[in-house]
Amino acid sequence: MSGTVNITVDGKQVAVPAGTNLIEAARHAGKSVPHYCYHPRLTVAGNCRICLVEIQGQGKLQIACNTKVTEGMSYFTDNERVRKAREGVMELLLINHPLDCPICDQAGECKLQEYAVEHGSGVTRFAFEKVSKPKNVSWGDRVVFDSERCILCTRCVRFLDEIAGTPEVGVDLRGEKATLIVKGDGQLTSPYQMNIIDLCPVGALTSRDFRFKSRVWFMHFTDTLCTSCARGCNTVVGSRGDRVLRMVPRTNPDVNDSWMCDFGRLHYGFANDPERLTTPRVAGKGAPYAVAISRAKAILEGARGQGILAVASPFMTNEELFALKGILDHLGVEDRYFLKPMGEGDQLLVHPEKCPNARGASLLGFLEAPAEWASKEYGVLLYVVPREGTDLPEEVLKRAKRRILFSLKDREADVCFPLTTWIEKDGTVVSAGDRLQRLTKGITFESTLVTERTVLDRLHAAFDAGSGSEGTAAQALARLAAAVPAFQGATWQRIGPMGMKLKAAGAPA
Amino acid sequence: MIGETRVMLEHAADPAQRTLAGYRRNGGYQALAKALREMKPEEVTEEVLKSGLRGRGGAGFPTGRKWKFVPKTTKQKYICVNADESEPGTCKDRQIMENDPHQLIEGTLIAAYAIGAGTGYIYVRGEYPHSIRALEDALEEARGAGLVGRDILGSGFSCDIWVHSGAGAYICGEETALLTSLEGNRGYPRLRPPFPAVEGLWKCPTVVNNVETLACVTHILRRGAAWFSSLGCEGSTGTRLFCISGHVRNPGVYELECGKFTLRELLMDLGGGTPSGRPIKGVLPGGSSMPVLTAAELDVRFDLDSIAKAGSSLGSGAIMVFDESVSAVDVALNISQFYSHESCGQCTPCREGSDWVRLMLDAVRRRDAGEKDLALLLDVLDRIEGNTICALAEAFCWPVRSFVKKFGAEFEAHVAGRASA
Repeated sequence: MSGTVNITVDGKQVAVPAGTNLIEAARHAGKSVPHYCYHPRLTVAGNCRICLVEIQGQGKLQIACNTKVTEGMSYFTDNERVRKAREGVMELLLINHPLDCPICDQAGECKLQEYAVEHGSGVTRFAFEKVSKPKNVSWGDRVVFDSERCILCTRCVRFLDEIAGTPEVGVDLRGEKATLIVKGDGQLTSPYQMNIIDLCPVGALTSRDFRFKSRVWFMHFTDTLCTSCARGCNTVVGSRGDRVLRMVPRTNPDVNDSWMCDFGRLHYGFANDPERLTTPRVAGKGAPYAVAISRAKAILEGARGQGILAVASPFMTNEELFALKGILDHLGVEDRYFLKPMGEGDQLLVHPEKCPNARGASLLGFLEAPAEWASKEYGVLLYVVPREGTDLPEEVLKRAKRRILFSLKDREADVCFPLTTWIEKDGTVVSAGDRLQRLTKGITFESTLVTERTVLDRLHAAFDAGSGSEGTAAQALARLAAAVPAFQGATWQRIGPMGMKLKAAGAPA
Repeated sequence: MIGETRVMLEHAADPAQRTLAGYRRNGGYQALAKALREMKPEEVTEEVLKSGLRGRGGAGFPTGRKWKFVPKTTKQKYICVNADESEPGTCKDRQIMENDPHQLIEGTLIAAYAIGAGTGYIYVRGEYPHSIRALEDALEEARGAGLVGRDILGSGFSCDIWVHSGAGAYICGEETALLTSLEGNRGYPRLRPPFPAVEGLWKCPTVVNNVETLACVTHILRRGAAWFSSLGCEGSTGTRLFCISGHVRNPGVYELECGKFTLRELLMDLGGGTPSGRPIKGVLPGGSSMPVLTAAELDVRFDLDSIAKAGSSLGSGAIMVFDESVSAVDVALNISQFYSHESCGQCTPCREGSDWVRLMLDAVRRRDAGEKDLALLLDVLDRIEGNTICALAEAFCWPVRSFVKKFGAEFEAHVAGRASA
């Protein structure tokens, strides 16, 4: 399909790409056609019937999702006839719906609620007992199904079949008794199964993890990334107060379409861990940041000549790595490494590198840690402990006379700074395919916490008052982009919420 | 006296006709031999087109035109026989399959040749074990004689035919649901476009024809399009099988030429009138999914187009007669019960609406509904009809609406003086 065709939507003429369906085409004219079963990344099912439109010259109303534009086509998304049909579909969808919005997790982000307001009549004319269907059905440890709320749009059926490749959900029975079932033993197996919760336009599929935790309208939402692997799936983190409550995928066709794996989605609990370190420790005792920073400075200064080993974390942002690089450059430290946790990948999204920014660490001059560490003695170990998946061998840790650590949990060290998690800071990472993407701060875990970049910048300033560091992540990125060729041209704004491709960076991934 | 014109049922009473030898004695498989040896596939299609044959499954679409939609690709193509005879009141295809199965096999092979299909499937209603057995026996004999399978009659044309049993769902008689079911999936009708002729079974070009339609094809090729179109009348050529049931003295399956008499003449003469002598109240002339005709509407000429002009349809050829003892409310309720039970549940309006309509009619029948509820019922029908993937919604909207409108007084009597439920 190439070229454009001229169409008229509700009297407004627009040119749209050939092959566009009438739902997408209407957007070009500033119109939105309601839809439940249609999803741009799934095959067309055409069963919900809420997207009926009137095409000039055609007797019956047609579903917009399964109709493609043709030259000269004129259609109506909002005339009397369409409104009546739509109101009818809305009414029929609700006659057997339990209307249990007060206890439904979907409330507040439910298409039934939204379209009922926009397209419904506001009253029911149904005077009979509603159909009773299975409720609170466990589909395994992650998904809970309520058949009474289900509108049988089959988005979940199609996702598992077409995207996840595990066709494990189907429809059983007929007519008003029809219900979804999980084939076999009734338990989902797909490592991507939780995407069906997001796809479900109503409250039929809910997340066991998120159920009843919070009404969505009390939550704060942050566009950010998943940091469980190098894919960098675009996400939205939902939080309330200082706690993360859930993470869901955010559509980005260049990275993750509209999906993410269940592991990544559910892997946020470390951010809420009450055992986390929230103030620096000096020699095992809590200390203000200023004290910890000056102690770290003294240790590093004292180690000149005895050798310093710097081990960075691939969970650090580029800006944090760049701040660390500034200190190492100033001190003339040559041994700069980072640890890289590895695991299994898959064909869809999961990347074998189990960290978000190994590539960024490489580009900023850190070497992947050797499989066997040389038995070299160091005066100081400056070590940003990876969030998970890997750690320095005990003997390397012990071989250093003094240790300055950044860690989520308190560890034995001369100075131990707390780590902040991905949702507590702004910054950038280099995801798979050399894609520069943004992390955005969503919560403050503890008001006492200072992010690693600020700690490192202050430490740098302690050595060199004119280092000119600190400031916002955007400013830090600007300094980084000016200094490191691979990042040339990158600005906070250019990266935007969808990320940007780095120029061919040269260094091996 | 209205007489039958027996073509498809000519030898139905002869048990020997079920065997290959018997069938051949009566000219069997000569039409196939003629088509394969003397005609190009396009010529076969032209012949069928010229005969004026219209599909006998219910919609009455010209068969030759349906075949012409099949693209001339080298891709695998299929011929599917819709033998899922499930429309209430319909029992005609069964006569062909059980008493003269070879004429269906012969017609199927001719159709396969015309469209270039290498495989045929006969999708038989699961409740028809006798039909399935008769077809399988006939197929085995035909296969043994080189009439089905590879290189049929030495012509180089190959086509195998398989019998597939349905599992009891009415919806699988809808041609796209039939295909979905054949593929091993839940019998859900499909969106059109694409039409089966372009993208049908396993995404290959597929023609789905009714049993009776393909039986006609055999006779058209045997005796010519001109002969076929000389039978019946314009728009309803050939003979058609009709299943007359209900309040008639002589229920049964009849093979008739259309256009020669009125519906009333048919019911009074061949049907013998009502057994009780009570007047006829209403007739469903084409299965339970068609609008009812009242006693005052029976003087319509009996052919496809005239019945259509009268606001109903000959549909699947099932003529159901009710005398004055029958409650119009009961019939409407019964119809809605059937279709709400058979709604596949795919589309919102039919899934939810068919049951709501049933509940409303049930309330009317129990005299538990008010006057406003009749208006509501009609309004709900309006919201359902025309808004679904397949025609099952129309299959209850049309008859129910026709009963409420044509027997309004009876419905009103049920709700008189009552407030809305």
